[in-house]
Amino acid sequence: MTNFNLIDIFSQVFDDLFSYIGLNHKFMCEVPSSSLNSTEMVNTLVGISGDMEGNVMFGYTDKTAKEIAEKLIGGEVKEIDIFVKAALADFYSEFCKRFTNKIKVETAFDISSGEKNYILLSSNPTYISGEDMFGAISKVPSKKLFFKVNNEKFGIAYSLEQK
Amino acid sequence: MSKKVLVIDDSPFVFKAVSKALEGTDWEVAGHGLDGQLGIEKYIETRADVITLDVTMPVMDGLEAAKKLFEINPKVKIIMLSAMGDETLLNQARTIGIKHFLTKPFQPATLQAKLAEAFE
Amino acid sequence: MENTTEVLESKFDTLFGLAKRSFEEIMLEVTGEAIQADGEFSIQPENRLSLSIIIGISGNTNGRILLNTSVDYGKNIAVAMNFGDPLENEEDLHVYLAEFANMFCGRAATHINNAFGKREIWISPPAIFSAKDLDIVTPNVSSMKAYYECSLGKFIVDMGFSENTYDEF
Repeated sequence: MTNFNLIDIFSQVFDDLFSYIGLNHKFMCEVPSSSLNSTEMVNTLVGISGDMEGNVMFGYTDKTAKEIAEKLIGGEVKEIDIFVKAALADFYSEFCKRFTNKIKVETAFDISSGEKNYILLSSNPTYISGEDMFGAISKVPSKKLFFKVNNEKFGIAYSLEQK
Repeated sequence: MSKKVLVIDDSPFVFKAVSKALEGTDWEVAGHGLDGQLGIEKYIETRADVITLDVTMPVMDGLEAAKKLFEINPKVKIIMLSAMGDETLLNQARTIGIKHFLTKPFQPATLQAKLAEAFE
Repeated sequence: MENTTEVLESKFDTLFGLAKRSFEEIMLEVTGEAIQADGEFSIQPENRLSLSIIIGISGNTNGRILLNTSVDYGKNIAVAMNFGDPLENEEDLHVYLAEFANMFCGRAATHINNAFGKREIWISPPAIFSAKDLDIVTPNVSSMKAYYECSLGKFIVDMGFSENTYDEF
């Protein structure tokens, strides 16, 4: 069995990446969540598989989406077009690579028995938006972390099960 | 006297599908465990004749639950129910001692035949 | 000698063919209806409520599978799975469709991994979204679509692939 704290890993990666792109950010709290949730206007979903499987969903505002894209593209972003969506996908792909790598590092210390390496893979990020959106990332209630980015709310909902 | 089957699966659909498939037969659904841990508790309570056991579940997965069920009763009869035909997973299940497997979705007649096979 | 692009296209064609076969098999087994991919169409729900099931793919091939439909057509599948009985509540729609998606993806992963003789892909559990004017985009993937129209409604299987560059594979 592994012994690491997912909340710590999520908040460390969140801090690393948002510091790197230079947006004000803060971890607020963990909030209760159900299996079916109303979501933010803009969301990005990443599937996780391997020795742990599930989904991670980032929910954020239109304003935050544009701010992240502006930092990555290096210019003003007026609307969320395909280039902005691609930039957001790169950002969350990097987030999940760092997240899975941190877990691999954590579990590497646990594996002293010479068993196989911990395998953890992430799928391509998918951008999802819509009005009055409902989403279920798992059959069981997921967990949700609440952050602020430039005073806008930012959520990470996740449901990850050890296999 | 009807024979009892316990459904250990996180999906209410599977519970309902098993119940529907066994309507009018000599099988009775004794209970539904939504994860491996709850399933073990239900087994201790019901001592069902056969268990249908899902692989991927929260809290405790099917392989772990099967190991514990065999500790409680080495002769427990389990049908592993899975959407995946993953050979590695099936081999792990066979190593634990599971002899009966069924892929989802299943037809009522297939489930009935599998239950009869496991019960013998 | 085939170039890399041709090899990848051929591989993606095979993967997509196996995903289509899996969807057709599961629809037949769950709803009793034999279906075949047909001409292209768009799904424009009257109440604008679209529904998508998203399944992440990782491994040698990365990407995602989308099953696109409307909330009303999704309900038809759920009712068929519920042996024709109406759903008890709205939340059940997601539960039933998640199970449908699990069966579809489990079958696809089995066919794909059997065909490639190794663990070619890993799949993530399905996520389900419904919204008005639902917009779903996965950048950097080559997408292939199959269109199905049957008595239960209209369904689009959309599979997007990219070759993985992870160091494990």
